[in-house]
Amino acid sequence: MLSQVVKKSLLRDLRLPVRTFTAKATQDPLPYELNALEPVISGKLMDFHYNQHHKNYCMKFNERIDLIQDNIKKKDLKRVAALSEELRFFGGGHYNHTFFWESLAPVKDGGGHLPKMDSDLGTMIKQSYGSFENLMDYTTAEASAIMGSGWAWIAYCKVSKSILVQMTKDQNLLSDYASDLIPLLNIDVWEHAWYPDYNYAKGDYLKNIWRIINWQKAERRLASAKKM
Amino acid sequence: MKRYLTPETLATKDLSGLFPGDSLKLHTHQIQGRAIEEIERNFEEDEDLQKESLIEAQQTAGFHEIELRNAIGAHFNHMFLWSILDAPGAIEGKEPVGKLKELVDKHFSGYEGLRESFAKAVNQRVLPGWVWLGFIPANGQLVITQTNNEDNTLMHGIALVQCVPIIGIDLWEHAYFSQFGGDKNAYLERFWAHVNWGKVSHRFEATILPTGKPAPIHPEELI
Repeated sequence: MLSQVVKKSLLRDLRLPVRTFTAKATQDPLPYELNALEPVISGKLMDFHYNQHHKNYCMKFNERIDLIQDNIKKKDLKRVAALSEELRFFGGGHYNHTFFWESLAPVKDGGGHLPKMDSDLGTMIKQSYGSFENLMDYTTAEASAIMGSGWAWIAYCKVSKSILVQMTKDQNLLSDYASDLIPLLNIDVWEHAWYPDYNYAKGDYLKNIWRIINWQKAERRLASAKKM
Repeated sequence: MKRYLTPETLATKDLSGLFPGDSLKLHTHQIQGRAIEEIERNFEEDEDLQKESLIEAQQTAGFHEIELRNAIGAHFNHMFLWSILDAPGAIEGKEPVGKLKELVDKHFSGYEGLRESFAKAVNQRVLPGWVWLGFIPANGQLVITQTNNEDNTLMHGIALVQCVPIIGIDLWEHAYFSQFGGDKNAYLERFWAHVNWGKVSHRFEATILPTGKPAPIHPEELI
């Protein structure tokens, strides 16, 4: 921090433009080992998905930030507007994947373990879907129907104080669909998320993913969501 | 349309350099197979669908529900893909020739220029879909364009740029993931090695250029 201050004052003295510090996106470390989600998701696929694919979103996002700043300086606002679209896409991808890794857990750490029916989450799910099984079936069916790329979300609706399932396309954010939806869990339904392990059996992926869903995390997210 | 709903439309030719092992079957049996099933499901009630040729069905695909539209597009796109590709040993001509070559030289400064521009579109695209080199009959120009999911450039009211496809590349992740680990450039390089430019150029000169329409695809081209 001190070095930043010194650097800035030096630059000011030299009458050079002081570059404002911009936060760059970084990937949080995975909460578990690459192969900890086997046999549902192989270590090889996790390596690809996290170390290449997600990392790429992060990198491209940061590149766009630099490009936008450059183009603002050049006063090319048309380019800035176009780049902002890309920023949105890569930023969405970065966020969605970060959320996803934390929505999963190895079986030995509670992945797939359903919360009690009388917990907050259990009660709400029972109210809207009747049971955890119904919720999972419904989500699976909706996710299967996504053509192309997208995500499946289980969310808390602030206004109606209930649990809702929502599909999103591409790398859109959940908030694009309704501003009062707070995400509790998501499932990546882009082909890259399952195709190497499951070939074309998307149904098998969706059936199996529930074995590693981090319901405890969902409960914690719900607790925070209710305070918002 | 009915005559296209047969197993003969699934490629059996050797494209193992590009789609090794089971990956070709994935396109043919899974994707095309399911597309054929979906089309057949709608066949009885839809008189227009019965009367249309495969190509006419593309033009009107936008009027159908999304599942049927996807199926119609997927079937054509893949048949089209098999008709332009061949094993590297079997291709007749590694570069565009004749009238196609003239237009490629004019619009893209040669085959290399075409590959560069094509690569830009391929690398920039992040969503599932196809990238095409197409011909616009109205002004005689070549264009590189893209479509989402299983849409194609023949679909009225859907394709951004309506044109007659000359070549196209499948950019769904399943098309290149397992072989190339997401490396689109490697996939593209291998794709070029499999494009039968002799055949593509001939088809362009003999049918697309004079008539402004796509050439019909014969099942014999797929074996």
